[in-house]
Amino acid sequence: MRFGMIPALILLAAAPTIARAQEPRLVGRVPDAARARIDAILDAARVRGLPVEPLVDRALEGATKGALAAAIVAAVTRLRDELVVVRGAFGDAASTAELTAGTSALRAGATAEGLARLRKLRPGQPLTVAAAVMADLVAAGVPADTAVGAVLALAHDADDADYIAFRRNVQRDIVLGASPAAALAVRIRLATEALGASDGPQSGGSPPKRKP
Amino acid sequence: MTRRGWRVGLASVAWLLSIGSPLAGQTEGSFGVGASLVKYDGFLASGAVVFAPALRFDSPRLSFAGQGSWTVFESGRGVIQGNAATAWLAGARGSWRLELSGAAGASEYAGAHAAGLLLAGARLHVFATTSGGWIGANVGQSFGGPVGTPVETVVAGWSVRNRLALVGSATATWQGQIRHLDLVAAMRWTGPRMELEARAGARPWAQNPEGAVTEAYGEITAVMPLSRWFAVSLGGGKYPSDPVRQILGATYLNAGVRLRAFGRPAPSVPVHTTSVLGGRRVPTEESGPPLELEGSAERRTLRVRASDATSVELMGDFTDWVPVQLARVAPAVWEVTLAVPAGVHRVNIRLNGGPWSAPGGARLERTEFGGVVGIVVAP
Repeated sequence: MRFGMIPALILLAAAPTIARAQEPRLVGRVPDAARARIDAILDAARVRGLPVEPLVDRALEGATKGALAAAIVAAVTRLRDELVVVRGAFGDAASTAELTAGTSALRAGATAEGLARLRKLRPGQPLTVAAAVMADLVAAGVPADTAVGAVLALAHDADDADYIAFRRNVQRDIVLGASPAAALAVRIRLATEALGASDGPQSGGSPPKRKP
Repeated sequence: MTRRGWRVGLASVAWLLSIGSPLAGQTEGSFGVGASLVKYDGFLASGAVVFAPALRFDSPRLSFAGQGSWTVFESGRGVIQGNAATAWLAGARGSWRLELSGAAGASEYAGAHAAGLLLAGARLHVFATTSGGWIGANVGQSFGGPVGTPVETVVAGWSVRNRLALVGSATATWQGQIRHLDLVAAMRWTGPRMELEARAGARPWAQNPEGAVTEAYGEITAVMPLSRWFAVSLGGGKYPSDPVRQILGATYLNAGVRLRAFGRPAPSVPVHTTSVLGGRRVPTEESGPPLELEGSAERRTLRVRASDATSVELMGDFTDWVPVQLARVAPAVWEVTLAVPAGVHRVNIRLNGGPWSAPGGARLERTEFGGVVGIVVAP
């Protein structure tokens, strides 16, 4: 009998804690109608080990932009779902920055499979910039699967500076008139050749020219 | 204006327009073969072989031109492209005539990367007996390339004297943050055994977030008809990139022959090695000036260059979406120093208390809250 009461006592003890779990940054900024539901989402996220910072940021963004309560809740819910997907792809050890970059890539058109392959090809290396470049390429007009393929092609040898230089070169080619797909094809070949020709990652300078 | 005057004028205009114009009509088919040495911007020089069939129909009011080419480079990679254009010329109202045109094209590079383009244009021509001019505009849409609607506006004048035709034009092109002005002078001299075309141009003003390129360029081409059915062409020069038509700037030398399969004598179209497609980003009010980041995570300087701003603000996830005022530190330079952790951030900026926009050059993301946000990476 006494032992049977223990779970009930624990629940009673936890109840006030759950009730107090309000995100202070939302108070006074996010409409009341949305805040209770967002707090619930945040609590659930904590339980699942998801970072709540991006969710709070999204709620604040909506509030600052004058969004309706329902829209704010919907946006936070969607981001929470995306975080779940990206964490599944990147693993439990992924940082908040990596998860945020992954959701951005996901929204741009990358797939969970592509992100998981990125994690596999870059064990122990940060994924934030690689995922962001993936999203940037898709936004620049590169088909999503092509962009994912390009980032994966560099995944083994490139560091963040290489990725940033790669993205800059692709965007420059596009600005000069190349189609996104053609620019990507040229730059990925140059980048892989440059990376492959050295013992380690390059410093991110412009890759050598080649014949068309 | 006399009938001869109209014909001279229209023929001169047609020469200038890659999109065909109405001419006294019949159909002409031809096939060109050429060899080129070409150095595209950003590439090493390469030899190339070009095969280029062409078809053209002209009537007094309506014209159609179709052209294809297959260019094979030393590397074995190639470009296949084709385009078609049509133009309709309205009846004269005094010295004025309206021309409406449309063009479509597609290209593929290295067997994998395809792009396409649709263009629509209108021009208002004014004709005198041996001179004239026009103002016009083109808008379009590209596929498989950067998303967007390019816009070109042109003002031009021409004059014809005996065997010589002269043309001057100013073309303003913009698409999103990419804008440039081209000034071009062109001439065509038609001799008894040779037709000579030359143009010189300059891009004195250009603007884009990746670094503006101003440059001068020029080309010359000689076409020598050797018989009713056969002509030789030699040419060379430098032309600038044309994002609208997706032409990558290049320097080239080429030599070619053109066989006329049927139709009019005196082939007048030299063999070209360039693609004719293009497309760029849509002009938008959703992008503001670029945001520059300097420094480390704990203390980053965020800089905006805005020449006509009286106030600049930004907000983002790193400000908890609270607007932050930037301080003017120099004419047209606005800065603020904040802690911005490494990673991907969402940012909006606004000038002069206007609408919030994304920083130029940042990836745009449409939000659930309406409007856009810029996605920037802090290394």
